[in-house]
Amino acid sequence: MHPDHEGNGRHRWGRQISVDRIRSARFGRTTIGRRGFNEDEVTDFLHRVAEEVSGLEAELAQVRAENARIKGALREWQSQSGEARTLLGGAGTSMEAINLLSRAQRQIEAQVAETERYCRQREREARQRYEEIVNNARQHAREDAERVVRAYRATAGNQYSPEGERAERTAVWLNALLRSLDALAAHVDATRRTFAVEVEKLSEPASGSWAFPEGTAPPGAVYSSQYRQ
Amino acid sequence: MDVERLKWSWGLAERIGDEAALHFYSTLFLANPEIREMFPIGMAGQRDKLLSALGHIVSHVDATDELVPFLKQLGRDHRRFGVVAEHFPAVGEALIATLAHFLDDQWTEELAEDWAAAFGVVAGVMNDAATEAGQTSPPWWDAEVVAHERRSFDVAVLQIKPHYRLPYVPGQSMAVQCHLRPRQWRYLSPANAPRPDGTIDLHVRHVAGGQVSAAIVHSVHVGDVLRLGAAVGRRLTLSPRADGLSASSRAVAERDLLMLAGGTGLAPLKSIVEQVAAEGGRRRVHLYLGARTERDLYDLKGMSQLAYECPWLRIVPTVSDDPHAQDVAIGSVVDVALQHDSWLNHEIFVCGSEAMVMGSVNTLVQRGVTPDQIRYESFQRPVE
Repeated sequence: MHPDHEGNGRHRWGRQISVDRIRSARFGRTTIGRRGFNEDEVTDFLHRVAEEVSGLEAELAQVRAENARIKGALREWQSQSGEARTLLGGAGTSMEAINLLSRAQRQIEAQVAETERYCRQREREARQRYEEIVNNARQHAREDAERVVRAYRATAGNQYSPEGERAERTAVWLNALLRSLDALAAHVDATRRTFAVEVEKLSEPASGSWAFPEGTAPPGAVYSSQYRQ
Repeated sequence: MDVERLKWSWGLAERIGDEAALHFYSTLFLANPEIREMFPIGMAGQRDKLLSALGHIVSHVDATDELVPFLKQLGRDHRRFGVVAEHFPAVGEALIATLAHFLDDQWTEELAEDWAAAFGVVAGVMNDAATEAGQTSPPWWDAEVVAHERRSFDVAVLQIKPHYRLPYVPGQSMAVQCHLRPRQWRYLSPANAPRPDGTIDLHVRHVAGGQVSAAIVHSVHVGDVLRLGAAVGRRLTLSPRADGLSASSRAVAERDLLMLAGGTGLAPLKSIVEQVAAEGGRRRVHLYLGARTERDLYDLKGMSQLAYECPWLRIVPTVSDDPHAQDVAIGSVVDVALQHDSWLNHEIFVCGSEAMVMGSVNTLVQRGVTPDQIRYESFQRPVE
């Protein structure tokens, strides 16, 4: 996250998007004559949601991979500890050590693949839902606006003006779009809850696995620096 | 070196496939833990690349005309991963140990010598090409993000400024890495012809499951630094300038252009349009700009401005799946283009998703366009 990110005024919702903040989000109205709501602000807001989900996905993938690696290495270490330590201590590489490392790599990849499938599915759903919401909102807004404009024309009489008609249309359009944000908020809420549960499941076994006596790290751990950024 | 024996022994290892590649990397990493850090966590894609590169090398081992350019490119490309001369012997040892393991009692002294000799030649060519490239260019370019604009739900347009000039020809692409996804690379094309100030525009779509693209679209900000490899690819570049060519070559090089862009496939085509402009706008360009919905036409404003400035450029925005679309053509880019002309005398560039490109090429060929009129990128990338 860029340090200027919070203060530059583009993202007024800050780093974490909570559902409450989504619900209380307010979008500025543009001047009459243009579209009825500030499209940039709504788009910007949707991007913040996407960013949040994407960040959680990356976090989740890393936690899971790390976790699998540690669990796999620990299991191997416990079952073959004496043997493996001698093997790794030697100058050459033995078949057992090679096979051990290969198995650990396979375990990590199974976890990574599972996480990727999960994320891809979530991303597709998010995109689909976004399109549904936007298309529905446009459709409803257009229908509502036409209805109101017909009524305005019928009742305005001498008061009729093109500006008045546009203002009526704009107001209806805006309201219809704001209503659709409720649907979006509910969707994001559900997505967030899913991720929270996943992350919680992972947090427990990961802690404490590093408690190895000095000099006896499990075989996989020599590569731990790859996770540093 | 006995070529037949070499190919036969590779055939045995190739049948074992992924398991052999896994064994190779475990051997390599166990003996040289520092090399592990040069690779991503998941290695499945890496193993595929290793097997396909080795397969290509062994099957062309007696066709040096083809093999040498491949190895040179492979050597130059490995510079961005931080590969140096000292790494080659370690790779050779792990490779030979792996082959010996799987060939078991079929492994002989002669085979060991064949493979050592072959690997020596391969490593020599790769390393020489890397050293040669090192005299004129850095192993990678770091580039600061100077602008980042999200244009639609999943597309961002960035401007980056490499710390050193990064040479490229419009239509080429480079591997791009983002600090948020270490050791993962994705190929992107500049969307502009080279500029005096060296800045490069990138059009990036967040593809579902795409790690690098997700980070670049949603999480990268102005001031962040991306890492880029050297520009590669000649499939989407314009034929050389007509000056100094024979009359018949000039006729080909001066043909008018049809461009079919799907989504961010616009980027390399926009770059080529700028090149045509820089060369005096002597070729007419018809650019069909395709997207799913009107909202996905993320660069309509920029392209319209370009068309306004360039009388030889015609832009046709097209959407395939938008019930609310207004003022744009409806349908796939290739179908809309074929409603306007048969394009039998144009040089044709197609860029977009694999489905869009392959679908467009097939349709054009069915409608009488000759395959050598059409330029598009292959979706197989053996050299990575």
